[in-house]
Amino acid sequence: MIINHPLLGPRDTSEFTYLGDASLINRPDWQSDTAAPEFHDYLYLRDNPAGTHRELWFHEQGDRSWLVVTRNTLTHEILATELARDVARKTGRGK
Amino acid sequence: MTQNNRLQGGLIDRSKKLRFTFDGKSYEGYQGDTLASALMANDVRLVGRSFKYHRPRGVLASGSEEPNALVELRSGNRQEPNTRATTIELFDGLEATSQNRWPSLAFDALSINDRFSPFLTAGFYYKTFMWPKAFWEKLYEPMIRKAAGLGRLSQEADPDIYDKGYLHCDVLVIGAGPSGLIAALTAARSGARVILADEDSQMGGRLLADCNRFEGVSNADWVAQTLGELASMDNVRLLTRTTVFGAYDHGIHGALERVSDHLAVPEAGKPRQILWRIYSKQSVLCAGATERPIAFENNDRPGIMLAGAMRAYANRWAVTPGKRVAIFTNNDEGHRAAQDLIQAGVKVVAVIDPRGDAPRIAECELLAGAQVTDAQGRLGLKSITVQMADGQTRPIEVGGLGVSGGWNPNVQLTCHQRGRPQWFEPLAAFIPPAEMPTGMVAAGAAAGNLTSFGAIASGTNAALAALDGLGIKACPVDLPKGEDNAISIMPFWHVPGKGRAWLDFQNDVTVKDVKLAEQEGFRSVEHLKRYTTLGMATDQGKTANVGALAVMAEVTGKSIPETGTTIFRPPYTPVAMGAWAGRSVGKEFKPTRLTPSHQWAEEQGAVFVEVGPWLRAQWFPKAGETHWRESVDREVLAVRSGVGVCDVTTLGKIDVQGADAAVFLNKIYCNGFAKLPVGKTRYGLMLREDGIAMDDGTAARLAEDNFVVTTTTANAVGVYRHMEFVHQCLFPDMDVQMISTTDAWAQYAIAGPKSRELLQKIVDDNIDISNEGFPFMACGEVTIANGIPARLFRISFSGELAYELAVPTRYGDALIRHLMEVGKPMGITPYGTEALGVLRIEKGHATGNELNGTTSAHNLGMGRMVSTKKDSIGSTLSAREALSDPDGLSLVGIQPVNNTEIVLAGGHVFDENAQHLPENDLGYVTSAAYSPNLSSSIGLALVKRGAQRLGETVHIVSPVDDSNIKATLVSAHFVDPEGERLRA
Amino acid sequence: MRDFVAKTAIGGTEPKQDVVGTLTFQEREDVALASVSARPGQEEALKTKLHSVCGIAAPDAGQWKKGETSSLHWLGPDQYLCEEAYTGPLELARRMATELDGIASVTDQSDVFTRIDMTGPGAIDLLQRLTVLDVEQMQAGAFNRSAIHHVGCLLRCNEAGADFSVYAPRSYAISVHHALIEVAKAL
Repeated sequence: MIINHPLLGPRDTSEFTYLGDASLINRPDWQSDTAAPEFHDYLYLRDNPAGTHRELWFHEQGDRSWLVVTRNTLTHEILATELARDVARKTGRGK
Repeated sequence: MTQNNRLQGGLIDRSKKLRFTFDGKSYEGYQGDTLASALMANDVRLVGRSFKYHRPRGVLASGSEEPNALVELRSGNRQEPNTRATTIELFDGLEATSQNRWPSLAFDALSINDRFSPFLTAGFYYKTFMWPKAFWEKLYEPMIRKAAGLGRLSQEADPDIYDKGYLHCDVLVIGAGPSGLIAALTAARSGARVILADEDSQMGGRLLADCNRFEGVSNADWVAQTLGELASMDNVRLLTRTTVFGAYDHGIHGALERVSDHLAVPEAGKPRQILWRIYSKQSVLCAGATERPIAFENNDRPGIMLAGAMRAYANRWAVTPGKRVAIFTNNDEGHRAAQDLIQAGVKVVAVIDPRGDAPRIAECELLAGAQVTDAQGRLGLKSITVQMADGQTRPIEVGGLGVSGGWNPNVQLTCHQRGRPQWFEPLAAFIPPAEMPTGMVAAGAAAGNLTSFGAIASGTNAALAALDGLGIKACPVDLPKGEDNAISIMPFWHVPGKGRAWLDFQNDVTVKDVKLAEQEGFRSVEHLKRYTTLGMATDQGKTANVGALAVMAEVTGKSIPETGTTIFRPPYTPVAMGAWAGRSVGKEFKPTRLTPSHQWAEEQGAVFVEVGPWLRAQWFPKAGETHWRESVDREVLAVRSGVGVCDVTTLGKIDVQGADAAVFLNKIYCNGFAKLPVGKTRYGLMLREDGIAMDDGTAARLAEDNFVVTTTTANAVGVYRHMEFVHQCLFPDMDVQMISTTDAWAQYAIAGPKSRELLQKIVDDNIDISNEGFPFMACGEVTIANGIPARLFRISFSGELAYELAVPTRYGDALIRHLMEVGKPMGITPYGTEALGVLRIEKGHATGNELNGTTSAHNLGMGRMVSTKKDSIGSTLSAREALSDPDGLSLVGIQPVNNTEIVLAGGHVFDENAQHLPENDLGYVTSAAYSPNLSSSIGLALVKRGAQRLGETVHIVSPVDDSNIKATLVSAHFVDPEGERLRA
Repeated sequence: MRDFVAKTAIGGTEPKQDVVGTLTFQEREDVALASVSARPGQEEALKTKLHSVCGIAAPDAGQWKKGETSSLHWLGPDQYLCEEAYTGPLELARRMATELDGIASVTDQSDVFTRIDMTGPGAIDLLQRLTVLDVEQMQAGAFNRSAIHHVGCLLRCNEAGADFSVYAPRSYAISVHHALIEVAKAL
C-alpha cells in the first residue's frame, strides 16, 4: 500500500508501523470518578470495522510522525491522512 | 541425431549452433530456440510423465501456460525442478532431465497407475487411505509422495545471487504484444514515464508467432520499428524476460526479471534473477490470451498440442511436431494456423471443425461438422480417429495434431484484488471484470480484442485512458492497418465418449472427474477445484479451468456464468523462493549492528551472541579454558572481587529535552521523575496502558530540561515509538523533544570494588569521583584522556560499586583499549553478556525474562513504585485487582536444597506434597544461572504469594527434561541484599 | 591534546574508499551533525535564527539546503539536521545549543550517522536495488529517511542521478557499506 503522507507525499507502507484504531488518541481522564471502566473501554472496546476505519500509523523509517490514516479495510483505499498531533489537538488534547 | 523436424525460416539464428542434452542424450539446436522447440526439431515428442497416472506426455503449449513439459534443468546445486521446456531458452551445454518417471521416460514402472485409473479418480486420496489411521504417516503418504509428483530439489544450497529492487513509473505496460507495444508508444510519446515488461526473451507477443498481420509492413519490421523508438526514449524502460506476476494495492506490481536464466551460469557477481516491485500510477494489462484445448479420448498423447502453439513453433522457431499434421478447431483461428503451417511447408492433412458451416480458410481438406474422437500412439501420436459429419469414422495418420477450443483472455492480474471476470458470449470466454484494480486498464487480447487491429486500437485507447488519469496530454500515434475479422467460434468443450478425456493435463483431471465431483456434491467451483485438484500446481489451470467449468455447467444444466469462475491469486507464474529471499540468506539474513568494542573483542577471541540485530560478546575465553562455564565463572568472580568491564552500548538511549521533559517522564514511567535533581539518575519502570510492565531503564537528569533515558537493548525501537505516541497523540502540547542517541555514545559498564580506583586513573585530573563527590546514582559530564567529552553514570546492574562511562562512539575502541591497559595492574577483566546475566540474577534484577509481557509492577515486587499521586501510562489499570493481587505471582529467588542440582528456567513450582497438575501450579522459574559466589545453581521465579513464602521448600518440575528438584524459596537478592556494595 | 585516536565507523583509522565499476564510495568522518528541534511556539523563530546562524533558509519537508559552511536537512516536523565540518567531539552541538538557547533543543548526532558518499553513473541503478524511494525523481536538494537494506538510513541527493550521500546508523555502517558494495558489483 501507499500512504499519502501529509508532509512528504506518497510513501510505501513498508516505512510505517501500524498501531490500530485512532480512538487510542481519546485517552480518558485519570481523575474521573469512573476512570477505571473508562480506561477499560478505551483499551479493550475498539472498533474493527469492515469498511472505513481511522487508524494510527507511525512513519518509523521516515519523519517519525504519527499519522491518522482513514482507510477502507475492505478495499485498502486510503481516504485521508492527517498528522496525529493535529487530530489530537482538534479533539482538545494538550498537555 | 539431426534436426529432422526443422523447417525453413523462423526467428532463430542458424549460425549459432548449441549443444544440449535431454535425459543424457545429446542434441543440437540454435540460438533463439527454447528447449521445447529444440527437442521438437530433433523429433523428441515424449518429454514427461503426468502427475498421477504417469501418462506419457509431450509439449502442449509454446509459452508459460505449459502444463506438461516440465523438466529438471541443470545439475548439481543449480538443478531446478519443474521448469517449463517451453520457456527455457536454449544455451550451449544445457542439461535437462525428465521428471516423475522410473526407471526411464519411455518405460515408467508407475505407469501401472494408468491401468488402475478407475481407482484413482478424483478424491481417491480421501476415500482410499482413510484407515487404519496410523498408516497415513508411515505408509500412505510416503507412498503417494513417491508415486505422484513433479521434480526433485537438488538438496543443495543455491549458489546464485538474487536481487530485489524498486522501480517507479507513470504507466506500467504488462505484455509487449501488439497492444502492449502500441500502448507503451502512445504513453511514451506523450511524455509519461513508461515501463514495458514482457515475460518472453523477445518482445512482440503473438506477432512473433503468427503470419503477417498488418498491411504494408511485416510483423517483424513493425515490432523492430516500435521497439527501436521505445528504446531510444529516456522515459521508457524495457524489461524483457520479466513476468509481472502480481497486482497489489495502489498500483504496486510484483515482477520477476530472469536476468541470467538464459545463461549456463550467471556472469560473476551478477544476479540470477531480480524481484522488482514496480510502483505505477496507471497500468495497462496487455497479457494476451491463452488457447484452450478440446477434450477427447486420449487427447494427451505426445504430439497433440494447441493449434496456436503449433503455429508459433512453425513461424518463430521453424519446427513442427510431425511431417503430417491435422488441426482440430471450433473457431476460425485454427484454420489460420493451418494456413500458416502449410506456408511453412508442413503437410496439413485436414482441418476438422465441429461446425457444420466451418469456413474454408486453409488450402487443405476441410472436415466440417466432424470431431476427433480418439488418438493412437502411446509414446507419440501416430493417428487420430475422426467422426465425420455423417457419423462415419475415419482414421487419419498424423504425427501432430493442433487443437483449438478458443482463447481465454489472460485476466489473472485483474483478479488479484478480488475482481471477478465476466463471461463474454461472443468469445465463449471470460474477460476482465468491470471493477478493475486501481489504475489498471486491460487491452488487446487480454481484454477480449482478438483481432490484430482490435488489439492495437484497444492498446492505444487504454494508454489514452491512462494518460487521462495522469492528467497528461496525449500525443496520438498512427495505427497500421491490419486484419480485423470478428472472431467466429462455436463453444465446444469436449467430444462425448466413454474414455478418459483430459481437461487439466498437469493434474490429470478428466471430464469424468468433473462429472464425478458433480455426482458427489462438489458443484461449487471452489469445491470442484479442491476435490479434483483442477487448476493447481505450476500452471494454475491456464489451459484447463474454463473447459472444466464448462463441463460442470453442462452436467448441472446451468450456464457458465451461473456456474462461476475461480479467481486468481498471485503469482501469475511460479516465483522461486530464492527470489523472495533475495540477499537475505545465510549470514546476510539480516543486517548486523556492531558495538564499538567489537573489533577489540574479536582480537580477544570473544564468543559472540546475537541480541536482536546486535552482536555482543558473550564471554571471553582465556587460554586453557575448555568450557564456557570456566570463563563465565571467572568473569563473575572478577567483577565481585576486583573490576570488570562490559560494553553496554546496545542499551537504547533517548535524548529528551524541553521545559516539560520531567512532566513527560512522569507520564511514561510509573514512578516519579519531577523531583529528580540535576546530576542524578533514577531507575524507571514503564508500563503499558493495561498495567503490564513494558520496559525498564534509567533516566539521568543532565539539566533541568534534559534527560537521557535508557531502554533495554531489545525494546529500544519500541520504547522510542511509544514515547513519540504519548507525545504526539496524547500530549501534543507538551514542550518535549526527543531523538535517539543509541549510536552516538560508546558506553561501558565498569563494575567491581576496584572500579573507582580504575576510573580515577581514567577521568581527567580535575574531576572528583569520590563517594562524596560522585555518590550512588550520580551522573554528569566529565572529560577523559585529556579533554575528550564523556558522560559518567554511577549506576549498577551487577550490585557492585559500578559506573557506566560513555564517550562519542568514534572513541569507543580507543576507550576499551585504554581501560584494559590502565586496569591491567588491578586485574581488569572484560565480561560478556553471560556474566552480565549471572551478576544480575545474583542481585535479583529483572530483565526481559521477568518483564515478559504478562507481569505487572506488583508481580515484579515494584507495586509500590506505581505512583497514585500522578497520572502515568498504565497507572489506572495497574490498580486492577488481578494485577495487584497480594496472592498473585511475585518475584523470588530459588536455590536447590542440594547444591549439586541444577535449576532450569521454565521449570514450574509446586508445593512439596502437591501433585504436579496445572491446578496446583504455583508459578515458574524465569531465569537461572550457576552462581560462582554461592557455589550453587540459582534462579529467579514468579511464585504465587512468593514474598510470603520465603524459606518454604518447593519442587521445581520441568517436563522438558523430566526433572524434579527440591528447592528453597529465598530473597531474589542473593548478593548484598542491603545494597551496601553499590553505595561504597 | 586528546590522547585517543578515533576509529571510523567502517572500522579503520582512515575513511574507507571503494571504487566499483563506475561508482565511487567514500566514507566521510569529517562532518559533524546536530539535530535541532523547535520548542513549541518557537517554530518560526527557529527558522529565522537558523537562517542567520547557518546562512541558509530552513528546508521544507523532504529537502535539504547547502550553505557555505553549514547544510540544513529536514528530519521531521520542526526538526532539522545541521551538518558542518567536524572540529571536535560535541563541538557543533554545543555551539548550536548556545546559539539556539530557549528556542530549540539540540542533540549531537555526529556519531549517530556515518555518511557514505556515492558518486558516478550507476548510482540510480544501485539505489533502485536498495531503496523504495523514487531515486530517479530525486533532484539535488532532496533528502529523505527510508530503509536501505532493511536499515533506516537518510538519503541525500547532491546531484540528480549521479551524486548521493547515504547516512547509515553508525552501528550498522559495516552492514550497509557491505550491501552497497555487493549490490554495486551485481549491476
